[in-house]
Amino acid sequence: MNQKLVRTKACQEHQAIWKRYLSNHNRKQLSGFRRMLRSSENQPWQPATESSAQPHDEPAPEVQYATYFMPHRFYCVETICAPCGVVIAWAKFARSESPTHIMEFLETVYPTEESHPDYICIDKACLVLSHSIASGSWERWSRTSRFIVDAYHYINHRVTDYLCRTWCNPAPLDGSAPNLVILDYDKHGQPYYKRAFNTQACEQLNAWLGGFESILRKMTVGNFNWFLHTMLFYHTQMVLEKQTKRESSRSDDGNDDSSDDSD
Amino acid sequence: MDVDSPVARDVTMAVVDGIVFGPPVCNILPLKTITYFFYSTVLMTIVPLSWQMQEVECFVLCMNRNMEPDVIFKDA
Repeated sequence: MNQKLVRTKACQEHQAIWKRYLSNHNRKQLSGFRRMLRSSENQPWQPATESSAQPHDEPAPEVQYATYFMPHRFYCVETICAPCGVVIAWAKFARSESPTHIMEFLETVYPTEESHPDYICIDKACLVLSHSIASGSWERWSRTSRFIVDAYHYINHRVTDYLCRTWCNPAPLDGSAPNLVILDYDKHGQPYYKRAFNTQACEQLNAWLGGFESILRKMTVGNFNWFLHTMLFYHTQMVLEKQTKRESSRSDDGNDDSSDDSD
Repeated sequence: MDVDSPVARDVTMAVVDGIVFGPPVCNILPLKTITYFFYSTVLMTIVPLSWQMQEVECFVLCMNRNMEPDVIFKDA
């Protein structure tokens, strides 16, 4: 095994790589180009960023890092929400948002069949479904749950993907999932179909969480966990308060109507 | 199944999604293992953190009440 040279993190053979790393990550350089340019806006002559967003209807490629001179980051924070916006659980995924990790997360949060939700809405539901079938866990999950793609991402999934179109449609109009589509009437009294659930709840939560990204990125793991958990706790309380207010105003309206009728 | 049947129940849904950001991975392996084991998946209802929240909430309320007379722009 090659020995590291003193005051460096590389052996003699890889000193060139170490020097290049140092020059790209010194304080002036790093604070400068990280602040000025986002990762997608790098010029061709600047060092390529190692992380990139993964497509949600294709298997994630294995990320190969050029060097391990500094600790890498957790890839993402995964959240589970109820359609009303209440946060049920969250987890950090170390390297990728892969179907394997998503299934492990779901198994942890919903360990028994009784606790399984009827529908699990994920942007890459078709991939998770394929993985679940291949790994054998679908036998258990199929008794209680269905995986569906959220309405926003479904339009970007391939039309030719038979599995996705048949089993992961968030609002099938052929009557195969009457719980997902309900009939409503517009202001002219015309009937129309609408989605029964808000499948964008997590997307909306993540858009809100994104505002804290710049603070969270600079925290240690412990602080990160605490801060994120606190924010999600307060968010959930706020959502519950709003629901209570809405319910009480509805019941007040109902009481007013009934008293008007009796008058 | 008839909706009036006693075994009928509400339809439940869980929405799962990820946002790409995270803290740096810790370099110390035992600490990393412990951190991953205890903090990787956090259920909002059962973890000790939720208990801590109760204390924090009381603390914030008390702090707000104590600060109230000193807030300069209270009537602004």
